[in-house]
Amino acid sequence: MNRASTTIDPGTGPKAAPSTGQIGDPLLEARHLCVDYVTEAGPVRACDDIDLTLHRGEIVGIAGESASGKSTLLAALGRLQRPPAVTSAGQVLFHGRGREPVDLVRLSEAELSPYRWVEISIVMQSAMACLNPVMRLGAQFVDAIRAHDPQASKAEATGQTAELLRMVGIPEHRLSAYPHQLSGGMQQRALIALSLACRPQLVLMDEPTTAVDVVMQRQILGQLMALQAELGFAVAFVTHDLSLLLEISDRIAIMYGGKIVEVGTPEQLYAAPRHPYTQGLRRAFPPLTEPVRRLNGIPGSPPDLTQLPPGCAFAPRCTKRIDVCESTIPPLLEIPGGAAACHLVTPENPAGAWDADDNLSLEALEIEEATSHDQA
Amino acid sequence: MTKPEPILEAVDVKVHIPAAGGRTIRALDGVSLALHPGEIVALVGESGSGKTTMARVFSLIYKATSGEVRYQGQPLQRVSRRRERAYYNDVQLIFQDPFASLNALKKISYILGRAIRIHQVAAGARAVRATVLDLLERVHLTPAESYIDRYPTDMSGGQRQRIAIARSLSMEPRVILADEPTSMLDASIRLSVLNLLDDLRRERGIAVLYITHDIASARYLSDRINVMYGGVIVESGPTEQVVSDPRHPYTELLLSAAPDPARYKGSGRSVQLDITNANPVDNTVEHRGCRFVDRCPKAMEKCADASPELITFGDRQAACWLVGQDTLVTGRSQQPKSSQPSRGSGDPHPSKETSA
Repeated sequence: MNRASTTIDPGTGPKAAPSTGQIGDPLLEARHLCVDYVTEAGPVRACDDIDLTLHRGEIVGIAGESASGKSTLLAALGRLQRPPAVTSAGQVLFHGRGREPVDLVRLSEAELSPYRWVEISIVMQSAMACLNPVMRLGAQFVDAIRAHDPQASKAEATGQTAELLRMVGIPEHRLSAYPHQLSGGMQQRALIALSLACRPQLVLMDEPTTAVDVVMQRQILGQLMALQAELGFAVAFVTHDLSLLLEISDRIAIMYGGKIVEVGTPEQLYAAPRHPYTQGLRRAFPPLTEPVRRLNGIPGSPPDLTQLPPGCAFAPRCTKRIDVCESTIPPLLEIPGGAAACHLVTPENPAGAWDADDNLSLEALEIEEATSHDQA
Repeated sequence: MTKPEPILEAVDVKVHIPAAGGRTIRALDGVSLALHPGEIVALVGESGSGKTTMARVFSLIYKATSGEVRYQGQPLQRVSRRRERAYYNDVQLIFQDPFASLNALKKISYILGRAIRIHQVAAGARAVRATVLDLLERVHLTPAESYIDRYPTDMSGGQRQRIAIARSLSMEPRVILADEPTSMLDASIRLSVLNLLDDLRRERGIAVLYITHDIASARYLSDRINVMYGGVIVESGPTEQVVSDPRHPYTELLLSAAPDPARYKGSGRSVQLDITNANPVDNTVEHRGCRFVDRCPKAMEKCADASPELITFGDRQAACWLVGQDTLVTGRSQQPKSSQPSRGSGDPHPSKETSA
């Protein structure tokens, strides 16, 4: 709790130790985490038995469709969910520096307070809904900084605010602006700056760029990546846009029907995704530089969490399903370079159902293009 | 191959909307655009660039301040009420949000049947129901019998958007104006909606105006791309040519800013863009120079002083001082050319035919 009294200077700050994207020890660990939504018809499991470890300085992408449980998981990692969502089982272990890991699930609100913002902060999708519309921007920063560091004077906090905003390219004179006076992109950047106000170890990001244009998105991501390399915080980044995650993440977890179905590096997921759902997702984003060919996305619709099939949740949409898929839920199997939950992925066959015909990578397509006039 | 006459055309259309404080919002500031039967034309640009305004002008929701909209060669300003009604049949608009565009309290049979009755496509309960079933099959909601008595709330976003498309198809339209039809949908089902639009133009010769901010999907679906910025078209041409060899710096920026799976982390293909100003242009002021000048990495003195005209070269157009009329010199010579620079030249549907 002595961190916030130093003025923030990203270049020489004492906390800037693990810079240039170095990935370190475990920072936050979800173990068998389950989140239920309590409804009149009974609990609906939105996150089911999630095991995920975020390391220091790591950018972990979490991708999935609506109702896949990705945002619910993110909120649960930060203990930010509100009823009707409740964490019904499992642990969220936070590894503080030089301290024993703490299970955030068991802490009271008062006990959680020292972790909020100082250790874990969040950036949401809609900046205008997060910023207080009747408070000047600067005052909101000063509020947050002084709430977590009562010793900081107002002048110190204002100085830190100017520095934070400068880091995301917002000039100091906008401190006195109200949120509505800023453009959408600027609001979103202000929110990112606000999340960094207390120098957290982990920033949770829930679709932070979905509401802005693609050029603005690129600007925000550029600044975020630069800040991350400088300050060394870890990021858990939730979005439905797998293309985006492939570009920014060190590791990506794919969610489907409340479960993690695959974990892998961007290279792995780009070149040879193992789960048929990930393979389908890779085919769902039209390419920009690769040759165009008819793509078919994934047939069918995402599952209804209240009526999940007895076996694999993806089985009804899966073109590669076998008999066992309809009766047994596949476990998330650790394999070299990641994990996958598919009956076709075994220790003997870690590539799963992936075969050469599935290959969508640039190199493979250039070879294929000359010969193939595939199904339309 | 000579092109047929355009079915729907905008000629130098301006839409100026009075705003508070005596200002004028120049939502469209001289846009010309043509749609041919069986053609998919994409309109790409950021929020506020005027894409949706263009669709609303075509669907007669907004009136053009000046300029002309022509349908089958006839200016629309002078049509009778009856012809106007026929126009509404022929030119159908599909909205972005299928959660808002369908009445949640009515069954699919009613939602589709009502349009059929009002426009007298069929009469009598049995004929209407048969038409509804046929429409559901056309948008691949099969077996149609299992969908006809559902409510929109029982359906996924992709299914609802198909209902919206089915409703527009009940009029046997010649033109579909699709305003961000997939941006509310999940990634895995977007393509099925795009493919459906592609099938419609193939099988029925429907012309589609595909409005989107996603240039990758525009590349996937369209034959021609129009890039809008600040109420004007800054570049247009056959899709593959524009995507593989953009001439306007804004098109270049759009292409390099869009996420691309091939640029995954560790691929060595990642782009580093130095974007200092991503704010949209203020279209309440009159621009003396190029609208993009404040954000353009290649801006010259000239760009702030005078607005570049849309220059035609071959099948393409671009409005940039760096596009020389005779030499087609652009400022992008330092960048590597696409591996297939001449791909599709002279062929209006280069990639589509190989995939068909």
